[in-house]
Amino acid sequence: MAGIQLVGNANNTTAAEVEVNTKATRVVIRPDDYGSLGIYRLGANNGASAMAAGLAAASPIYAWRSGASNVYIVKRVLFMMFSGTTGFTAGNAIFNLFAARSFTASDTGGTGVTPTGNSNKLRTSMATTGIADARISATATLTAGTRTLDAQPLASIVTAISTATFTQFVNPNTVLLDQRVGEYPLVCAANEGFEIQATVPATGVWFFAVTVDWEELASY
Amino acid sequence: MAAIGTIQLVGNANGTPLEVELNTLALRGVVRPQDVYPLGSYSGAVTLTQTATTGNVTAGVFNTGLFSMPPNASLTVGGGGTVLTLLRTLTISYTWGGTITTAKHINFDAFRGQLSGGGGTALTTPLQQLNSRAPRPASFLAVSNAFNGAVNLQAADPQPFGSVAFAAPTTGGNFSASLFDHAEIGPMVLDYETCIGVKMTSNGTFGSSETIQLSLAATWDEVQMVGQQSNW
Repeated sequence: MAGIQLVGNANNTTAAEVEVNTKATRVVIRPDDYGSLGIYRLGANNGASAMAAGLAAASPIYAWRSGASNVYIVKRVLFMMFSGTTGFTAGNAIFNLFAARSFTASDTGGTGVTPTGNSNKLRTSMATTGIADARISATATLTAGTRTLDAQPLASIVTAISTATFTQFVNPNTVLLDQRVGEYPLVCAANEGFEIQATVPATGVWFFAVTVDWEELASY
Repeated sequence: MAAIGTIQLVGNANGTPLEVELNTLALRGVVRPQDVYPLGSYSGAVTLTQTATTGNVTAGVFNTGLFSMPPNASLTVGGGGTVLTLLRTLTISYTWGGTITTAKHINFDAFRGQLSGGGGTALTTPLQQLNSRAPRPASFLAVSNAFNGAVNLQAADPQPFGSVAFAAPTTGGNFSASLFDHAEIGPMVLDYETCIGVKMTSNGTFGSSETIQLSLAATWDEVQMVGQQSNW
């Protein structure tokens, strides 16, 4: 039986090609179809002043909460951290990424970095993001909102901390979450999200930065 | 519903039947780049080398690089379509050395904004095509031509889309990081006169004998805004 050809939509006289030797059809990867919503990327750092010494264990330092409608597809969360002018007591640091569910009140404190207007869209014609809140510590812990964290983190970075000042302990763009094509992302329904918690040794002051990639879709 | 029989999907010019894997029962696919014809895919980089600053720059807020579509670069193709630039990757690399008196931290923040206000040194005659048959790019890269030189970005977003921070101790060193990567979420789609600016800030003092070198590199596609080739 003779084969058939697969043709396009508007390009309906163009048939898809199949490679001669591998017998694989050619495909091109496109982003998710965001419809009337959008795709976003947000970078943030704690600012010019260092995180103060004496942070309590498991303190929230970054919080991200979805909006009241649509589906929020978190694809990637990147993290980096280094010491400032005062060194730490030698020890270990832990940075945990937790899924947060059933938000009824967002975290507070720090610096609110929720995009507004056209900010942080990957294309101006996309809709303004619908996330309820994105927030990063400035010099101290965030005040936890009302939400339920998973008992175990989605991801964790542990690193040895020396007494050295201005030393990189977590390299730039270290992955906390990176769900690539074909991998299941963190899918947040209304009032869900994630939080990063820090546990660091005593005495040291430090800086950090977080970058988040997400999509907002009507369904997924 | 019962199957209606079997059919084979064959190629176009090749006329080759598509294969299905014996055990996984998956169709074979090979990923090709975005069809950018009649425009192109590009890669470019600009570098600032500053061997000695003329003075200190403290808590500096100065723009170090710019990825921009200039106002005269709207490329009209075919039936009056215009160009969309699809930013794929944006990378910053930085070295510091010489006599460094103050350890400090340095941030690179990448912002999306509007038309460049000028300034800096542009890569004016780029030949950055990844396929030499493509036209020259409509987009261009520019970098500050002095340590605190301005490459202005107007109406920038209040929040950056990429932010990296690193420690710069007095021993000198190297740093390189991605500010944008399309791999998971697709490209950043830049309309006419939209720009990407990278801002460098620091909390410390740069001495007059401190040397820095930084490079901003980008890869991007240019496609028609309208037409069957694009659908962007």
